[in-house]
Amino acid sequence: MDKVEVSTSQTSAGEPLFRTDVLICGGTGCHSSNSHAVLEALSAEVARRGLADEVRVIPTGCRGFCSMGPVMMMYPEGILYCQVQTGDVAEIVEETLVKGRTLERLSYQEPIQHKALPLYHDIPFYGKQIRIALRNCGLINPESIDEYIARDGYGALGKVLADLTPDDVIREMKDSGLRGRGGAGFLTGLKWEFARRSQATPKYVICNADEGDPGAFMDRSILEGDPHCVIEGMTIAAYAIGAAEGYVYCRAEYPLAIARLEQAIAQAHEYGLMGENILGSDFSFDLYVKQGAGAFVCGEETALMASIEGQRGEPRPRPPFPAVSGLWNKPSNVNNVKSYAMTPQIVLKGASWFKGIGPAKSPGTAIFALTGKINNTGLIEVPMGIPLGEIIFDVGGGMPTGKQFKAVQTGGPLGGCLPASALNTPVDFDSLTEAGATMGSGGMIVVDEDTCMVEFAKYFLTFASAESCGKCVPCRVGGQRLLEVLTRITEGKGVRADLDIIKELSRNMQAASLCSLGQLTPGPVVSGLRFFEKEFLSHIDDKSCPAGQCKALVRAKCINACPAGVESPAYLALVAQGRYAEGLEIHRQRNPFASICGRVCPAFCEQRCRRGEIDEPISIRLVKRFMADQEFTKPWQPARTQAAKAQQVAVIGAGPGGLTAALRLAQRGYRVVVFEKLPIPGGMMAVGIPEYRLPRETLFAEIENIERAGVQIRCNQSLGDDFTLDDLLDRDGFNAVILATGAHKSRRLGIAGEEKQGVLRGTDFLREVSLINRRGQGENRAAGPDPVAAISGRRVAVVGGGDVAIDAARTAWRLGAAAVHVIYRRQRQDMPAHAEEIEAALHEGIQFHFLANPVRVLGDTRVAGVAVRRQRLSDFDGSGRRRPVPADGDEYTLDVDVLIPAIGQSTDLSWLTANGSSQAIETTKSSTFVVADAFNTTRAGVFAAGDAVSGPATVVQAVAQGNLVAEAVDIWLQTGELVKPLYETPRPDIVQLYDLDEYAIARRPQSPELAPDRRQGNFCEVELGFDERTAREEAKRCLRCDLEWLDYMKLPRPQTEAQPQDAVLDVNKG
Amino acid sequence: MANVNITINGQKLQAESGKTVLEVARANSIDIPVLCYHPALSPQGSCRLCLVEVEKQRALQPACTFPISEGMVVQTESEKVQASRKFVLELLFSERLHYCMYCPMSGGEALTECELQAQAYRHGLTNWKYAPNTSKRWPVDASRKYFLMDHSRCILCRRCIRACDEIVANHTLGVRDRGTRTMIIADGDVPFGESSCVSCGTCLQVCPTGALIDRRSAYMGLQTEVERTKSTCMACPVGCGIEAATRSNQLLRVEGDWDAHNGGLLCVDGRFAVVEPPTDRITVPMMRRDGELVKASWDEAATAIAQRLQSTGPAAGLASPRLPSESLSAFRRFFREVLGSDEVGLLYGELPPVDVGPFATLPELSAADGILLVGGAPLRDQKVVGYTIKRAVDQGTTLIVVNDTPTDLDPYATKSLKVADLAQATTALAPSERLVVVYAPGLAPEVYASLRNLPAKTRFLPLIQGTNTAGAARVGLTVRAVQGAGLFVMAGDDATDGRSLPAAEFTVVQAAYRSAWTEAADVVLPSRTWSERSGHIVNIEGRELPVVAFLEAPKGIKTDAATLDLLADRVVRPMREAAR
Repeated sequence: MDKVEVSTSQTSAGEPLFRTDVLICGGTGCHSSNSHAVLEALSAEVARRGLADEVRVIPTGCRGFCSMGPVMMMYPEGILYCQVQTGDVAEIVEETLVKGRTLERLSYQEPIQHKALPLYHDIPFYGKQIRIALRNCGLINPESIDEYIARDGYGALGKVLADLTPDDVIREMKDSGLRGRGGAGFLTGLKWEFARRSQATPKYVICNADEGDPGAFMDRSILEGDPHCVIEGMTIAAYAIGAAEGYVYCRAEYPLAIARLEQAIAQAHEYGLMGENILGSDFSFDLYVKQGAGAFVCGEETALMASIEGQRGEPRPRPPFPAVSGLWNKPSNVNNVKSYAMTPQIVLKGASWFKGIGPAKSPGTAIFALTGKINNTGLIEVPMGIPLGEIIFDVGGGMPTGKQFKAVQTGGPLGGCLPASALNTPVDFDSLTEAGATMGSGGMIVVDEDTCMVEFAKYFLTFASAESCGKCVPCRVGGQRLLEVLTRITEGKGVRADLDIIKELSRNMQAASLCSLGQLTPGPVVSGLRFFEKEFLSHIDDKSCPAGQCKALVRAKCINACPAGVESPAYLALVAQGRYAEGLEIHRQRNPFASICGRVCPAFCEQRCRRGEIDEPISIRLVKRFMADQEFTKPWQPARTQAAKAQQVAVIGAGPGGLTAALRLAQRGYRVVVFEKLPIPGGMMAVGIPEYRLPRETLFAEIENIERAGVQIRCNQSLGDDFTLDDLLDRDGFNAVILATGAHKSRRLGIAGEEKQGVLRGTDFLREVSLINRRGQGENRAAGPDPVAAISGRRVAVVGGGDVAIDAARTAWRLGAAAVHVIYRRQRQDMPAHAEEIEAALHEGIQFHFLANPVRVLGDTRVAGVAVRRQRLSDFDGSGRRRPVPADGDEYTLDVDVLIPAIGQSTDLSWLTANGSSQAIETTKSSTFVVADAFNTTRAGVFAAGDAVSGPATVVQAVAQGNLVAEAVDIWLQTGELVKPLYETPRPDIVQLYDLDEYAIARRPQSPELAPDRRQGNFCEVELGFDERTAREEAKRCLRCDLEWLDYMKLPRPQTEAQPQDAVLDVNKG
Repeated sequence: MANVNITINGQKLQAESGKTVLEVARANSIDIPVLCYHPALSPQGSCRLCLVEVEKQRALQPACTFPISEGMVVQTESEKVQASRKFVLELLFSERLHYCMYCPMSGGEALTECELQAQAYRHGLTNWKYAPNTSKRWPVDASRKYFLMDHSRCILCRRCIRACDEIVANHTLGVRDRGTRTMIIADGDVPFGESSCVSCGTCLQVCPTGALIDRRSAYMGLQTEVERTKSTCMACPVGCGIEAATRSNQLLRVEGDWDAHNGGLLCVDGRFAVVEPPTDRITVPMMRRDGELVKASWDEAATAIAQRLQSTGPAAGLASPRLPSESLSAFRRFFREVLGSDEVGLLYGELPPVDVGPFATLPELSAADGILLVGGAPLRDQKVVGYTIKRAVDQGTTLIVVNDTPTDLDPYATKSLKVADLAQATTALAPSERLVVVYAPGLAPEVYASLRNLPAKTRFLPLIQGTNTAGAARVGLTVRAVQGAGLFVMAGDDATDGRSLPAAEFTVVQAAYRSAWTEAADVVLPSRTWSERSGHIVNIEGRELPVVAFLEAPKGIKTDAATLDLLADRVVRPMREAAR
């Protein structure tokens, strides 16, 4: 590992020794965030304080930590400060340089525990890196050849010229196993050997610095940060193959790299390290910089050489290979910047040292420019073979703002994207290719759940096809055709056959294109289709972009993110105008449970809200809650949209899915009866979600709305016990049945002692508590028989990390448990439960045990504790999270009386086998119903929706399914056809009446909450909601993406209406 | 070069190492389809139609660039190869507007018409796999006089560019932009007609589709419906090999003969100017009566000529150097043997000494490593020689121009010297292994003398003026002032080019077209044109080349020999009768 802490204080020129060196990164990233001003300010401050003899301020090349720039390092201590601005300079000098204290404020904050890490080597970004090519970058002044020499610079060249024959050098390079870092991964030593064997003269060495991948800056940083190592590497290569002339082909967009290179070449000449008779030997070598005009294809070696020759930069077929006929038809050796940069170290430290790093077939280190949706963007050098996930989550610090990892694109625009399931892939040439991506030159772009993979592939394809030189037909025309197909898919105009066209075009382009640009252009599309086919199909079949990125398909990200497609911008605009009833009407067209969802919805809309990219997302849920709560005096009477029909539909289960389906069918004129097994309707809303989150009066008010539409709800009616499907269809005259039975059955832990007294299932526990309260045995009171007695005064442990687990824990705490523990096998940030719920649980004093797993329930017949094993995180699983595995031998006992497993739910299917149903209904392994596109089960006339189909989900997801299954049943009953439903409502375009600029600096408000000390022993609602002013002000922060979409689609914006009638609040002045 | 063994489609073959798969396949009658490949041009492997499967190669490889090696096994018709070819064709048909029925090149399955269409037939393309482009329009550039460029039919194979670069060395054509925006352009994207284009038409000749179309012959018949005749161009003494395409006794088009010394290359004069001759053709003999030229019978005209040439006094004759040697010889014989006159010469033409050393051929000029141009302006007067010199220079040949006035080739010369500095030039070119001296007439004798002293391996190319001046010299006709009371001018299809004829009491002009000469003549005889004559010329390489008639003369126009025979008969018959 390159942990050499050599201070550059003493140079070969024998300059005075300084007490401290302050290195300020002058790489392009830091430069653009004003590092040059910091450098000037610091130099001035150091001089002003009279420290100029003790402290030296040095500008360096890129140290890679670009997201934290400008970066400042102090040696010999190895202190690293991030995002230093000129205003920080005085404090740095006073505190750190004079008093020797580190400043926590400027230290790197580790993103999970928020711990300040002032020392360079403690920062995970650097901890897993091994720096060979980047060893000097950020540590030396790149404009000083002396500093390079002080770090063993030109030592390798000296060794080569003094002791080694060209064949020795080639043998060493071959033995090292170095593979070309330009992307193709050909053995560098072998390439040199080919060039050496060519008889023709003169020969050339060429350095490919035509780095053109979007977001890649590896080569640039090396040339800017350590130009001499490339020059030395090239000189060694020239000696090995017998060349006297070399070219660095560097794009003109890199003026700093070119300037540094030219300066370095001049310095090398001055020191006798370049030109005639280098170091007194017979070997002479001259190096020139050729500026490229920025065509991406010029990174292809034959095109690059054509460009040096002054021709149009286009590739030509190989053979002949450059080693035989290259630049000016002479033998030439082309290597990437990184390959040359590694050469001196290989020569100095020996082939076996290099070979010892990383896997045998891809030894050494890989350099990546880490970009995209990741905390630590920047430049890294890691040992080959490191798992992809470690780069992303350890070095890269994972996803920002708690988003889900979705894919990583390696190999730049010609590479491929890999999904979470590939996070364990070791990063080396062969493994990446095998996984479906490429090593490429070193671009690594990480994307999260908000990235549409079709759009992502299209982005790269747009780039690659625009960069096609146009010489060969497959690349020129094929890329264009491929782009057209992807474009129409992103516009919702794709058809299934397009996927075959993509595959055919890709296969043929890969096989028939002249150079790798054309051969690799389909890479992102092919891998995208391979790993994210479902997303392509969503665009084609559902005309929807799940990630919310494809403009034509996404009116607003919030609408798109809502499973039920609720028109948030419309009702936010109406709330802003005080028109609550109208807003509510729009909401209910897609979701009848506005008041409920205003309290319990995970608000997928907010997670995608574009305002969140600026400051914080709109508090859509709380605005909705306020809007819905304004309706007490005049309850909603759902409109009947169609005339009454003779047909009737039975719905099994009065949860959100069943009730929504019933409502929609009743609105269309059907007679609908809902059969509910439990004594109260509402499903999980009534018996899963605790009252402190969802008060019962709110719930029942909204269920009554549905009854008002004509829906009959019959409670205590259990399918299998009280009636059968045959009864409904054959005896009772129902024309269709919708199974919306939910997922109420808790999964078992599968550990010893789970049957002991005191083990309560999570969902059973919550249901019992709900029903007790409902039966009036203590309105909001924790008193009475089971399960309250079972909890009160006891020590409780809940197992799991989802909403049910947290609900169970908080409920137990309210019931007077002496102590409540939550045992979870992963880390806190991996918990699927709502972050706010976890936060609230912590406030209420619930103790969390992360990385812990119960292994045994202790006690004879009653629970007398639980044995817990510590877990550690190993490799990555399919969800992109690290898999917890038992840590060796570390087990402890948690002293508890009650254990509540809440690790997931499934559908209760016992009725299927118990009843006399004439026809079994097919189910999946995970106990859900098998349904086709029209939600039809395998029994004619029987449909299914909700958790019983999707597995445990949220209210709004069940509502979405309810809408759709009603649509499908309606179509089936009217036409006899089973078609995939598309639940459509008219698009409500609401005028924009206020100036968005006025709200540019408005912040997201917080809802008042019941104080934690007033929560125990009752089930009073914790969250209190917005007042009117707050709600209306908050609604005005909405950026109205829906109106921008109208502009994008060239549709007219709604006309200005009269000012709102309710002008009580002059919010602009307020 | 050593021979290597390779297998193509299971067939074991031997071929010279260094050859490409395509060359070997073609030599063995194995058909590999091509579009961007042309045998006269360097292969570039870009259309990807010639991709074949080569064992041990990861990807398909272009046959046109892939060199053979020992033991190589090639499949040219495997499923993979065929799929790839079809793919390429489908893409090409989707790129621009290939609506064949509107294209003059449409109609044949043979490769002599549109090669793209022929390949589509061969590979069974029956419909558009990818929707053809209907929204975009590509321009037609019709700014050139003789041929136009329809970009909508261009497949960007760049044969035209390579022809302009490698054959003509004019470097007018190039490409603009990249990817699908790629367009063929002239110079810095100016209309072709305003560019440095010399309208030699080589690009037209190599274009595989209907993108470059000859204005005259477009829509005038498929290649399979025309007759093609190999002949020699009569426009200048280079004597380029041509192929004349004719139909119904009409000349449609002239193309360069790839196998001739000019290697397919022609100039604007030889390819285009000759195809559209003047329209005022003389088809019958005419005699001046009452100051007016009126139609006469051959008999009347011949009798009158015979009488007047004898009665007016000594007769003189002038002949065009654009006549084949056979006609010139007959003309000379007519004067000497029938009229007993030596007062004959050429209308114009200049011939430098042709005995300074062995003649060079055009291929030798092309392959020279040193060229010495002494006098002359070949880019103006013997254009194909000029293009060939430029091509040689492109390939690294040293060119030294020796001339007292600036010439068009100076920009390409390593050095331009005055005639007085000739010695400096020969010294500079002394290291040349393959030196060709291109020299003009009209230089001082000591110049030719010093050329004679060059090393024996030197080859010489005289810049003759006048198409068959060299052939004329061989039959004893040179440019000289002739004197006689009667003048017989055999002008053929030559134009007067402002030249006046010597004054005479009686003037006979044999010519194909009306001109100032015929208007002033006493008797006018019709003449065949170069395209209606057969015979030979001697070109600048000193070679006798066949001129083959490819058109039938209008009825009643006699050959030169028949005309002279008739006149001889009219001269001799009265003498014979008198003697009897």
